[in-house]
Amino acid sequence: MFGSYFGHYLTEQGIITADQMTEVMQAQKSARVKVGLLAVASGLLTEQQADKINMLQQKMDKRFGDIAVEQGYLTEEQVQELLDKQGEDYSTFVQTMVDKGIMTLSELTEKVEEFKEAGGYSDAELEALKSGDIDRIVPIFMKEPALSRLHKEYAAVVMRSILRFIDTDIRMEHIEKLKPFQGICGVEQKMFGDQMLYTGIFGDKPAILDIASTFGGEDFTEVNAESLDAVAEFLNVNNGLYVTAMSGEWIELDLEPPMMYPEQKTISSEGIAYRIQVYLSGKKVNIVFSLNTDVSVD
Amino acid sequence: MAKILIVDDSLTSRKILKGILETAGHEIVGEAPDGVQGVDLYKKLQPDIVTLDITMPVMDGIGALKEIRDVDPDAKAIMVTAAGQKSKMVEAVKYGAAEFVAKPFDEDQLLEVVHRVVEG
Ligand SMILES: [Mg+2]
Repeated sequence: MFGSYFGHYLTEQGIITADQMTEVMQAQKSARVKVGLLAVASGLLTEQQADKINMLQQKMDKRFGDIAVEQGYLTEEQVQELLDKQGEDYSTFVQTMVDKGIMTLSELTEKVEEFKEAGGYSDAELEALKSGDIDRIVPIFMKEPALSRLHKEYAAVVMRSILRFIDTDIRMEHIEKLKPFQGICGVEQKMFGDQMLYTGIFGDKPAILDIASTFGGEDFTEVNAESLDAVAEFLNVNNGLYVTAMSGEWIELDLEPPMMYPEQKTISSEGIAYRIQVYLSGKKVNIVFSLNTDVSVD
Repeated sequence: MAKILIVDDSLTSRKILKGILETAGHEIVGEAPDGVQGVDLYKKLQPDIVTLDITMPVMDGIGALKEIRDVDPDAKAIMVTAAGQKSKMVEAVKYGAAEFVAKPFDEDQLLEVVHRVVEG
Protein backbone atom coordinates (compact mmCIF):
# COMPACT_ATOMS: atom_id res chain seq x y z
CA MET A 1 0.00 0.00 0.00
CA PHE A 2 2.86 2.41 0.64
CA GLY A 3 3.79 2.19 -3.03
CA SER A 4 0.19 2.97 -3.99
CA TYR A 5 0.37 6.25 -2.06
CA PHE A 6 3.97 7.34 -2.58
CA GLY A 7 4.06 6.12 -6.18
CA HIS A 8 0.91 8.11 -6.90
CA TYR A 9 2.55 11.21 -5.41
CA LEU A 10 5.69 10.73 -7.52
CA THR A 11 3.61 10.24 -10.66
CA GLU A 12 1.51 13.31 -9.93
CA GLN A 13 4.67 15.39 -9.42
CA GLY A 14 6.02 14.17 -12.75
CA ILE A 15 9.00 12.55 -11.04
CA ILE A 16 8.23 9.11 -12.45
CA THR A 17 5.96 8.08 -15.34
CA ALA A 18 2.78 6.06 -15.02
CA ASP A 19 4.53 3.20 -16.83
CA GLN A 20 7.37 3.23 -14.33
CA MET A 21 4.81 3.19 -11.53
CA THR A 22 3.10 0.14 -13.02
CA GLU A 23 6.47 -1.57 -13.52
CA VAL A 24 7.50 -0.93 -9.93
CA MET A 25 4.17 -2.10 -8.50
CA GLN A 26 4.49 -5.35 -10.48
CA ALA A 27 8.12 -5.96 -9.53
CA GLN A 28 7.53 -5.06 -5.90
CA LYS A 29 5.67 -8.30 -5.35
CA SER A 30 8.87 -10.34 -5.78
CA ALA A 31 11.40 -7.86 -4.39
CA ARG A 32 14.00 -9.04 -1.88
CA VAL A 33 15.14 -6.24 0.34
CA LYS A 34 18.79 -5.86 1.24
CA VAL A 35 19.59 -4.98 4.85
CA GLY A 36 22.22 -2.44 3.76
CA LEU A 37 19.79 -0.44 1.71
CA LEU A 38 17.29 -0.51 4.52
CA ALA A 39 19.90 0.74 7.01
CA VAL A 40 20.68 3.75 4.81
CA ALA A 41 16.99 4.39 4.10
CA SER A 42 16.33 4.38 7.85
CA GLY A 43 19.22 6.76 8.51
CA LEU A 44 21.13 4.22 10.64
CA LEU A 45 24.10 4.07 8.27
CA THR A 46 25.63 6.50 5.83
CA GLU A 47 26.03 5.38 2.24
CA GLN A 48 29.82 5.28 2.77
CA GLN A 49 29.45 2.96 5.75
CA ALA A 50 27.14 0.67 3.79
CA ASP A 51 29.58 0.62 0.88
CA LYS A 52 32.40 -0.31 3.20
CA ILE A 53 30.40 -3.20 4.68
CA ASN A 54 29.46 -4.39 1.20
CA MET A 55 33.14 -4.38 0.30
CA LEU A 56 34.06 -6.32 3.43
CA GLN A 57 31.21 -8.73 2.74
CA GLN A 58 32.77 -9.68 -0.58
CA LYS A 59 35.93 -10.74 1.25
CA MET A 60 34.35 -12.65 4.11
CA ASP A 61 31.40 -14.96 4.19
CA LYS A 62 29.40 -13.08 6.77
CA ARG A 63 26.03 -11.43 6.88
CA PHE A 64 25.73 -7.68 6.40
CA GLY A 65 24.27 -7.20 9.88
CA ASP A 66 27.05 -9.13 11.59
CA ILE A 67 29.74 -7.07 9.90
CA ALA A 68 27.94 -3.84 10.78
CA VAL A 69 27.93 -4.89 14.44
CA GLU A 70 31.63 -5.90 14.32
CA GLN A 71 32.51 -2.54 12.82
CA GLY A 72 30.59 -0.82 15.60
CA TYR A 73 28.18 0.82 13.15
CA LEU A 74 25.05 -0.88 14.46
CA THR A 75 23.89 -2.59 17.63
CA GLU A 76 22.36 -6.08 17.65
CA GLU A 77 19.00 -4.48 18.38
CA GLN A 78 19.25 -2.17 15.39
CA VAL A 79 20.05 -5.12 13.14
CA GLN A 80 16.99 -6.96 14.45
CA GLU A 81 14.88 -3.87 13.83
CA LEU A 82 16.11 -3.81 10.23
CA LEU A 83 15.35 -7.49 9.77
CA ASP A 84 11.81 -6.82 11.01
CA LYS A 85 11.45 -4.02 8.49
CA GLN A 86 12.56 -6.22 5.60
CA GLY A 87 9.02 -7.34 4.94
CA GLU A 88 7.50 -3.87 5.11
CA ASP A 89 5.86 -2.29 2.12
CA TYR A 90 8.15 0.71 2.22
CA SER A 91 11.26 -1.47 2.08
CA THR A 92 10.16 -3.46 -0.95
CA PHE A 93 9.05 -0.30 -2.75
CA VAL A 94 12.35 1.47 -2.16
CA GLN A 95 14.34 -1.61 -3.10
CA THR A 96 12.43 -1.96 -6.37
CA MET A 97 12.84 1.72 -7.28
CA VAL A 98 16.59 1.51 -6.68
CA ASP A 99 16.97 -1.85 -8.46
CA LYS A 100 15.16 -0.50 -11.51
CA GLY A 101 17.44 2.54 -11.49
CA ILE A 102 14.45 4.88 -11.42
CA MET A 103 15.64 6.89 -8.42
CA THR A 104 18.57 6.78 -6.04
CA LEU A 105 18.15 6.16 -2.36
CA SER A 106 18.94 9.72 -1.37
CA GLU A 107 16.49 11.10 -3.93
CA LEU A 108 13.85 8.77 -2.55
CA THR A 109 14.48 9.73 1.06
CA GLU A 110 14.15 13.38 0.12
CA LYS A 111 10.91 12.76 -1.78
CA VAL A 112 9.43 10.80 1.11
CA GLU A 113 9.85 13.93 3.24
CA GLU A 114 8.08 16.03 0.58
CA PHE A 115 5.37 13.37 0.31
CA LYS A 116 4.85 13.50 4.07
CA GLU A 117 4.61 17.28 3.98
CA ALA A 118 2.26 17.37 1.00
CA GLY A 119 -0.05 14.77 2.51
CA GLY A 120 0.02 16.43 5.92
CA TYR A 121 0.97 13.13 7.56
CA SER A 122 2.32 12.97 11.10
CA ASP A 123 5.42 10.89 11.89
CA ALA A 124 3.22 8.09 13.20
CA GLU A 125 1.02 8.20 10.11
CA LEU A 126 4.01 8.01 7.80
CA GLU A 127 5.25 4.99 9.76
CA ALA A 128 1.80 3.39 9.43
CA LEU A 129 1.84 3.97 5.66
CA LYS A 130 5.33 2.52 5.41
CA SER A 131 4.28 -0.59 7.32
CA GLY A 132 1.57 -1.39 4.77
CA ASP A 133 -0.63 -2.56 7.67
CA ILE A 134 -4.16 -1.77 6.54
CA ASP A 135 -5.55 -1.59 10.07
CA ARG A 136 -3.10 1.22 10.83
CA ILE A 137 -3.59 2.96 7.49
CA VAL A 138 -7.39 3.21 7.34
CA PRO A 139 -7.71 5.45 10.45
CA ILE A 140 -5.46 8.08 8.79
CA PHE A 141 -8.22 8.70 6.26
CA MET A 142 -11.17 8.54 8.65
CA LYS A 143 -10.98 11.93 10.32
CA GLU A 144 -14.53 13.25 9.78
CA PRO A 145 -15.54 14.27 13.32
CA ALA A 146 -19.09 12.86 13.25
CA LEU A 147 -18.03 9.33 12.35
CA SER A 148 -19.24 6.67 14.77
CA ARG A 149 -17.47 3.45 15.65
CA LEU A 150 -19.85 1.58 13.32
CA HIS A 151 -18.83 3.79 10.40
CA LYS A 152 -15.15 3.33 11.15
CA GLU A 153 -15.53 -0.40 11.53
CA TYR A 154 -17.37 -0.56 8.21
CA ALA A 155 -14.60 1.27 6.37
CA ALA A 156 -11.99 -1.03 7.91
CA VAL A 157 -13.90 -4.15 6.84
CA VAL A 158 -14.36 -2.85 3.27
CA MET A 159 -10.69 -2.00 2.87
CA ARG A 160 -9.62 -5.38 4.23
CA SER A 161 -12.01 -7.12 1.82
CA ILE A 162 -10.70 -5.17 -1.17
CA LEU A 163 -7.16 -6.06 -0.18
CA ARG A 164 -8.07 -9.70 0.38
CA PHE A 165 -10.30 -10.37 -2.62
CA ILE A 166 -9.60 -7.71 -5.26
CA ASP A 167 -6.28 -5.87 -5.38
CA THR A 168 -3.16 -5.19 -3.34
CA ASP A 169 -2.49 -1.87 -5.10
CA ILE A 170 -5.09 0.20 -3.26
CA ARG A 171 -5.17 3.80 -2.17
CA MET A 172 -8.06 5.37 -0.30
CA GLU A 173 -8.68 9.09 -0.12
CA HIS A 174 -9.92 10.87 2.99
CA ILE A 175 -13.52 10.02 3.80
CA GLU A 176 -15.96 12.80 2.89
CA LYS A 177 -19.60 13.59 3.48
CA LEU A 178 -21.62 12.47 0.50
CA LYS A 179 -22.51 15.24 -1.93
CA PRO A 180 -24.54 14.25 -5.00
CA PHE A 181 -22.33 12.63 -7.62
CA GLN A 182 -22.72 10.65 -10.79
CA GLY A 183 -21.86 6.99 -10.59
CA ILE A 184 -21.60 5.30 -13.94
CA CYS A 185 -22.84 2.03 -12.52
CA GLY A 186 -22.78 0.05 -9.34
CA VAL A 187 -24.48 -2.04 -6.70
CA GLU A 188 -26.04 -1.40 -3.31
CA GLN A 189 -27.07 -3.46 -0.32
CA LYS A 190 -28.99 -2.46 2.77
CA MET A 191 -28.88 -3.96 6.22
CA PHE A 192 -31.65 -3.79 8.78
CA GLY A 193 -31.91 -4.76 12.41
CA ASP A 194 -30.62 -2.92 15.45
CA GLN A 195 -29.34 -0.30 12.98
CA MET A 196 -30.06 0.57 9.36
CA LEU A 197 -27.05 0.61 7.10
CA TYR A 198 -26.85 1.61 3.47
CA THR A 199 -23.82 0.39 1.50
CA GLY A 200 -22.92 0.81 -2.14
CA ILE A 201 -20.08 0.50 -4.64
CA PHE A 202 -20.24 2.83 -7.64
CA GLY A 203 -17.70 3.59 -10.30
CA ASP A 204 -16.93 3.86 -13.94
CA LYS A 205 -16.72 0.85 -16.19
CA PRO A 206 -13.02 -0.13 -15.86
CA ALA A 207 -13.01 -0.22 -12.06
CA ILE A 208 -16.34 -2.03 -11.81
CA LEU A 209 -15.21 -4.58 -14.41
CA ASP A 210 -11.95 -5.12 -12.50
CA ILE A 211 -13.83 -5.96 -9.31
CA ALA A 212 -16.25 -8.19 -11.24
CA SER A 213 -13.49 -10.06 -13.07
CA THR A 214 -11.32 -10.61 -10.02
CA PHE A 215 -14.11 -11.66 -7.70
CA GLY A 216 -16.09 -13.59 -10.32
CA GLY A 217 -12.99 -15.35 -11.62
CA GLU A 218 -13.63 -14.61 -15.30
CA ASP A 219 -12.90 -11.83 -17.76
CA PHE A 220 -15.88 -9.51 -17.96
CA THR A 221 -15.83 -6.87 -20.71
CA GLU A 222 -19.35 -5.45 -20.37
CA VAL A 223 -21.25 -3.96 -17.48
CA ASN A 224 -24.38 -6.12 -17.41
CA ALA A 225 -26.37 -8.34 -15.07
CA GLU A 226 -23.61 -10.95 -14.97
CA SER A 227 -20.67 -8.70 -14.19
CA LEU A 228 -22.68 -6.60 -11.73
CA ASP A 229 -23.77 -9.82 -10.02
CA ALA A 230 -20.11 -10.51 -9.25
CA VAL A 231 -19.69 -7.02 -7.78
CA ALA A 232 -22.94 -7.43 -5.81
CA GLU A 233 -21.73 -10.75 -4.43
CA PHE A 234 -18.44 -9.15 -3.43
CA LEU A 235 -20.41 -6.50 -1.54
CA ASN A 236 -22.65 -9.20 -0.05
CA VAL A 237 -19.68 -11.24 1.17
CA ASN A 238 -18.01 -8.11 2.53
CA ASN A 239 -21.19 -7.08 4.31
CA GLY A 240 -21.52 -10.60 5.70
CA LEU A 241 -18.09 -10.20 7.28
CA TYR A 242 -19.25 -6.90 8.75
CA VAL A 243 -22.48 -8.39 10.10
CA THR A 244 -20.46 -11.19 11.68
CA ALA A 245 -18.09 -8.70 13.32
CA MET A 246 -21.04 -6.65 14.62
CA SER A 247 -22.85 -9.71 15.96
CA GLY A 248 -19.76 -10.27 18.13
CA GLU A 249 -20.60 -6.89 19.65
CA TRP A 250 -24.27 -7.78 20.14
CA ILE A 251 -25.50 -5.70 17.21
CA GLU A 252 -27.80 -7.82 15.07
CA LEU A 253 -28.09 -6.92 11.40
CA ASP A 254 -29.85 -8.60 8.49
CA LEU A 255 -28.75 -8.39 4.90
CA GLU A 256 -31.20 -7.45 2.15
CA PRO A 257 -30.67 -8.82 -1.35
CA PRO A 258 -28.38 -6.43 -3.27
CA MET A 259 -29.59 -4.14 -6.06
CA MET A 260 -27.75 -3.53 -9.33
CA TYR A 261 -27.54 -0.35 -11.40
CA PRO A 262 -26.09 -0.91 -14.87
CA GLU A 263 -26.66 2.68 -16.00
CA GLN A 264 -25.49 6.10 -14.94
CA LYS A 265 -27.21 7.29 -11.79
CA THR A 266 -26.96 10.19 -9.37
CA ILE A 267 -26.16 9.13 -5.85
CA SER A 268 -27.32 11.48 -3.09
CA SER A 269 -28.65 11.57 0.43
CA GLU A 270 -30.84 13.89 2.49
CA GLY A 271 -29.16 12.85 5.71
CA ILE A 272 -25.48 12.43 6.41
CA ALA A 273 -23.91 9.70 4.31
CA TYR A 274 -20.26 9.10 3.55
CA ARG A 275 -18.18 8.46 0.50
CA ILE A 276 -14.67 7.05 0.22
CA GLN A 277 -12.91 7.24 -3.11
CA VAL A 278 -10.67 4.21 -3.49
CA TYR A 279 -8.20 3.63 -6.30
CA LEU A 280 -7.58 0.03 -7.34
CA SER A 281 -4.44 -0.05 -9.49
CA GLY A 282 -5.26 3.56 -10.34
CA LYS A 283 -8.93 2.97 -11.19
CA LYS A 284 -11.43 4.76 -9.01
CA VAL A 285 -14.44 3.31 -7.23
CA ASN A 286 -16.67 5.04 -4.70
CA ILE A 287 -17.64 3.30 -1.51
CA VAL A 288 -20.82 4.90 -0.19
CA PHE A 289 -22.34 4.14 3.18
CA SER A 290 -24.59 5.62 5.80
CA LEU A 291 -26.06 4.79 9.16
CA ASN A 292 -29.78 5.18 9.81
CA THR A 293 -30.32 7.41 6.82
CA ASP A 294 -31.13 6.41 3.27
CA VAL A 295 -29.12 7.06 0.13
CA SER A 296 -31.00 7.51 -3.11
CA VAL A 297 -29.90 6.33 -6.52
CA ASP A 298 -31.89 7.97 -9.35
CA MET B 1 -21.57 -38.76 -4.50
CA ALA B 2 -24.68 -36.67 -4.09
CA LYS B 3 -27.28 -35.09 -6.35
CA ILE B 4 -27.38 -31.45 -5.30
CA LEU B 5 -29.74 -28.53 -5.96
CA ILE B 6 -28.22 -25.05 -5.56
CA VAL B 7 -30.50 -22.16 -4.54
CA ASP B 8 -28.78 -18.75 -4.49
CA ASP B 9 -29.71 -15.38 -5.97
CA SER B 10 -26.14 -14.70 -7.00
CA LEU B 11 -25.04 -16.24 -10.28
CA THR B 12 -21.42 -15.74 -9.20
CA SER B 13 -22.01 -17.63 -5.99
CA ARG B 14 -23.82 -20.47 -7.81
CA LYS B 15 -20.92 -20.76 -10.24
CA ILE B 16 -18.32 -20.94 -7.49
CA LEU B 17 -20.37 -23.49 -5.54
CA LYS B 18 -21.03 -25.58 -8.64
CA GLY B 19 -17.34 -25.55 -9.57
CA ILE B 20 -16.23 -26.82 -6.17
CA LEU B 21 -18.93 -29.48 -5.89
CA GLU B 22 -18.57 -30.81 -9.43
CA THR B 23 -14.79 -31.03 -9.14
CA ALA B 24 -15.32 -33.18 -6.06
CA GLY B 25 -17.55 -35.50 -8.10
CA HIS B 26 -21.01 -34.35 -7.01
CA GLU B 27 -23.79 -33.85 -9.53
CA ILE B 28 -25.57 -30.49 -9.71
CA VAL B 29 -29.08 -31.42 -10.78
CA GLY B 30 -30.49 -27.89 -10.78
CA GLU B 31 -30.07 -24.23 -9.86
CA ALA B 32 -32.57 -21.61 -8.74
CA PRO B 33 -32.20 -17.85 -8.07
CA ASP B 34 -34.84 -17.51 -5.33
CA GLY B 35 -36.75 -19.48 -2.73
CA VAL B 36 -39.97 -19.91 -4.72
CA GLN B 37 -38.22 -21.41 -7.74
CA GLY B 38 -36.01 -23.39 -5.38
CA VAL B 39 -38.99 -25.06 -3.70
CA ASP B 40 -40.55 -25.89 -7.11
CA LEU B 41 -37.31 -27.43 -8.36
CA TYR B 42 -36.86 -29.36 -5.14
CA LYS B 43 -40.28 -31.02 -5.57
CA LYS B 44 -39.53 -31.81 -9.20
CA LEU B 45 -35.93 -33.04 -8.83
CA GLN B 46 -35.91 -34.68 -5.39
CA PRO B 47 -32.17 -34.04 -4.85
CA ASP B 48 -30.13 -35.69 -2.06
CA ILE B 49 -29.11 -32.26 -0.78
CA VAL B 50 -30.27 -28.69 -1.32
CA THR B 51 -28.04 -25.70 -0.60
CA LEU B 52 -30.07 -22.64 0.43
CA ASP B 53 -28.61 -19.17 0.42
CA ILE B 54 -30.22 -17.20 3.24
CA THR B 55 -30.33 -13.71 1.69
CA MET B 56 -32.47 -13.91 -1.46
CA PRO B 57 -35.29 -11.88 -3.02
CA VAL B 58 -38.91 -13.11 -3.40
CA MET B 59 -38.47 -15.83 -0.76
CA ASP B 60 -35.37 -16.13 1.39
CA GLY B 61 -33.56 -19.30 2.37
CA ILE B 62 -35.39 -19.70 5.67
CA GLY B 63 -38.79 -19.49 3.94
CA ALA B 64 -37.67 -22.03 1.35
CA LEU B 65 -36.33 -24.35 4.06
CA LYS B 66 -39.70 -24.28 5.83
CA GLU B 67 -41.64 -25.16 2.67
CA ILE B 68 -39.21 -27.85 1.57
CA ARG B 69 -39.30 -29.56 4.99
CA ASP B 70 -43.10 -29.36 4.89
CA VAL B 71 -43.27 -31.44 1.72
CA ASP B 72 -40.25 -33.61 2.60
CA PRO B 73 -39.59 -33.90 6.36
CA ASP B 74 -36.33 -35.77 5.62
CA ALA B 75 -34.97 -33.06 3.30
CA LYS B 76 -31.29 -32.35 3.83
CA ALA B 77 -30.61 -28.65 3.57
CA ILE B 78 -27.28 -26.87 3.89
CA MET B 79 -27.78 -23.19 4.67
CA VAL B 80 -25.38 -20.84 2.92
CA THR B 81 -24.82 -17.57 4.66
CA ALA B 82 -22.68 -14.51 4.08
CA ALA B 83 -23.06 -13.64 7.72
CA GLY B 84 -23.00 -15.16 11.14
CA GLN B 85 -26.41 -13.75 12.02
CA LYS B 86 -27.35 -15.53 15.20
CA SER B 87 -31.13 -15.09 14.93
CA LYS B 88 -31.21 -16.42 11.36
CA MET B 89 -29.16 -19.43 12.35
CA VAL B 90 -31.40 -20.19 15.32
CA GLU B 91 -34.43 -19.97 13.02
CA ALA B 92 -32.81 -22.26 10.44
CA VAL B 93 -32.01 -24.86 13.11
CA LYS B 94 -35.61 -24.68 14.33
CA TYR B 95 -36.86 -25.50 10.82
CA GLY B 96 -34.50 -28.43 10.48
CA ALA B 97 -31.41 -27.18 8.64
CA ALA B 98 -28.77 -29.91 8.52
CA GLU B 99 -25.68 -27.69 8.34
CA PHE B 100 -24.31 -24.22 7.68
CA VAL B 101 -21.55 -22.98 5.41
CA ALA B 102 -20.25 -19.43 5.31
CA LYS B 103 -19.31 -17.21 2.38
CA PRO B 104 -16.64 -16.76 1.15
CA PHE B 105 -16.51 -20.52 0.57
CA ASP B 106 -13.69 -22.49 2.07
CA GLU B 107 -13.40 -25.43 -0.30
CA ASP B 108 -12.29 -28.04 2.25
CA GLN B 109 -14.85 -26.98 4.81
CA LEU B 110 -17.66 -27.00 2.24
CA LEU B 111 -16.82 -30.51 1.01
CA GLU B 112 -16.53 -31.81 4.54
CA VAL B 113 -19.97 -30.42 5.39
CA VAL B 114 -21.49 -31.99 2.25
CA HIS B 115 -19.83 -35.29 3.13
CA ARG B 116 -21.22 -35.18 6.66
CA VAL B 117 -24.72 -34.45 5.41
CA VAL B 118 -24.58 -37.27 2.83
CA GLU B 119 -23.42 -39.73 5.50
CA GLY B 120 -25.83 -38.48 8.13
MG1 LIG C 1 -27.75 -14.03 -1.57
